[in-house]
Amino acid sequence: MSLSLATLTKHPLIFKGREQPAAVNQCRRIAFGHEKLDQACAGGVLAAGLIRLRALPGCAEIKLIAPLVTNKATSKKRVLWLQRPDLLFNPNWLNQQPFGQHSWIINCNNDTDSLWVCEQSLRSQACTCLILYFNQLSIKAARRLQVLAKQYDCLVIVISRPSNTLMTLPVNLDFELQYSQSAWRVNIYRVTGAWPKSDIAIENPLPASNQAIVNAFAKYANEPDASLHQVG
Amino acid sequence: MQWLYLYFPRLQLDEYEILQQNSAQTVVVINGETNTVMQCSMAAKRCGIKKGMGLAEVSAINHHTEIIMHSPASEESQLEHLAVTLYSIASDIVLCQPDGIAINLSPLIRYYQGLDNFVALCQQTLRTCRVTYQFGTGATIEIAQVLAYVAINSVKQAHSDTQQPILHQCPLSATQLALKDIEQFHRVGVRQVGQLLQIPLDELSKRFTNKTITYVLALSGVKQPPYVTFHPKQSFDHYLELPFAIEAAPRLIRYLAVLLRKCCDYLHHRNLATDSLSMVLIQREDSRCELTINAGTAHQHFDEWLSLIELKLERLSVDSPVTAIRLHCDKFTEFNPENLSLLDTVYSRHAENMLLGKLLARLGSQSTYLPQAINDHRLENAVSMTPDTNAEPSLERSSRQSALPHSVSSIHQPSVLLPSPRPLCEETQIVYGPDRLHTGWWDTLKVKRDYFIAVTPQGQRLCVFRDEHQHWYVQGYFA
Repeated sequence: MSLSLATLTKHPLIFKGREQPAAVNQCRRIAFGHEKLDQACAGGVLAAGLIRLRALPGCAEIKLIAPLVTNKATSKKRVLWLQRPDLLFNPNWLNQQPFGQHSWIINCNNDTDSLWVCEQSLRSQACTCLILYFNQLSIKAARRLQVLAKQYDCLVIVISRPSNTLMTLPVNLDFELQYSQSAWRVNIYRVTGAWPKSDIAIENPLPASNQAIVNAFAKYANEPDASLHQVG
Repeated sequence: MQWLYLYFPRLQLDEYEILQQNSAQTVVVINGETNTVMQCSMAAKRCGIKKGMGLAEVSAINHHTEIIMHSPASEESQLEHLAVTLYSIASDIVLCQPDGIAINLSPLIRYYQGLDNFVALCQQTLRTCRVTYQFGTGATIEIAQVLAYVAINSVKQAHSDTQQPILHQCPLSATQLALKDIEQFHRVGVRQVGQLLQIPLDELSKRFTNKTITYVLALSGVKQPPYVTFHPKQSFDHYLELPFAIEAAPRLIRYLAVLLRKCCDYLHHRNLATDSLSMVLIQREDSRCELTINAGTAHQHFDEWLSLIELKLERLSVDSPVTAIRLHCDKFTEFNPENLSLLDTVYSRHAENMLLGKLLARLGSQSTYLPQAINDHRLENAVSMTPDTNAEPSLERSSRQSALPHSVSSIHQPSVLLPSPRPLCEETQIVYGPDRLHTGWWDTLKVKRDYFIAVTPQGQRLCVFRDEHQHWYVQGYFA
């Protein structure tokens, strides 16, 4: 019975309406906006599926994935931010982003709740992107999320701590954002359509700095007569 | 005028058998005051148990007999539900508490082009409700009632030659006369309705009250006493007595599903939808647990509502066993389904609202919200002043939010915040700051801080501040 059904469903002239959006997006890739990183990922990350970013909180990890979220938010479906009790997304910051109008923040008390929300959200077909901090994603859970995300054309971004993420997962992209020797680098451990690659240097500027003041002080420190301000 | 009287002799037992999905059990319904059998199942009848038997006698006949206490509230609710169901096929309905419904057939004969057509439809409707019933017809409600009590179960034209002899042979116990009056009639040898109707009214009026005389006049078909016609309420309300007390809330779902099915049918027949259901769990010692379940959007789908109720019950713990449940719904909107194309990929508001309903049911009413700009410089308030989303449609909030100004804070906003500031213990280097914040003097959360951006050796960008006592804290991350 299942064999005959499979023959039917795989027939090239039979069109399955429900899978249409996902099928169209199977090959679409979204660029990060970092040239070297996009080259290493064969043009960017696949628009539907699960990706894992290994980074410590505060390493501009959300800034790195922001172009992906912005791109996905153009579908006008919801972007869901699943927050844990110990790390809260700042509504003020989120409101200022281009995808802020399409975002929902969801409080999840534990990992079970987070996974439940992920599954329900994906199945509802109401969301286009899910972002969550999740440290120990099991292979089984990752596989479920990957299948659902592909089926319902959704991008699921899991951010994990580097120390907790040694296991290989069935994801579209598994990469790490790392700060070493005064430079930011990305290591790709697994990517669909390309080979893993390490030490991809990327620009990761600070949100703000006193560098202008420091430079000014450095410039005029040895010239006592040429003060910046004349008083009296 | 002609009336059809439907008599339901075992309403509570019928409901029990539907709930248990087993009609082969030996079950009796007992009157709690007199401890006598009021209703008995087929299996109980086969064992020899009859109506009116005492509890001890029942136990002696079959000690495995399951005993249910009679619940007038449950039967009343069920009878009203039957009347609401019949209201879709008949207009003039009189509710005869506690166990009967009368239907005026006169206007229906022409509408259904014959009495038999209507009666067949009525029987079909009652079969779907899975209730046991007996019926009879007559010129007045009282005549039809007596004929239904003796289970005549056939339709006869009023004042027909065949109806009169049958009515006259009915025993007085099938009438609504008071027990005291029946005993009085028995003493003088009057045991059947026919004998009663032969007594001149003058003689009766000397010995009996006006109420009895009015009843006899109705039985003779001379005069129909006034009656109140039934009109369905503008809300759904159903009460269900559970067959046994239940302690674990998730196990209630089986019984709530029965009420929910009725509620969804009610909505479906009226082309209505609702986004809020009220549930009352009546517990032992008369305590009550009231719950409201909100959906993201108004709808009438049984499966969706059932999953929301399941989510609610999963997290509910009741302090004493639940003996009865009530489902109530009075907030209706006209059902207006979105007409989406099968292959369309457009954004579906309905799907979004259904998801919102699920999230609120499982995670709580404060769990999901839109990020809104808070008109306050203090970062603590960005976390604590989350908007109230209590089942409010998300898109309405979205439009309201767009009217709000963006954050007025001059401080660089970290994307991730800690629930409360923690002392800065790690080695860091200041890369930006200070931004002085001195505010909140008008309330209890007065703040005087210098904000900085600090970087750890691992590259983490921290949002740190120094308070007026020169203590350093971390409040968030520039993620």
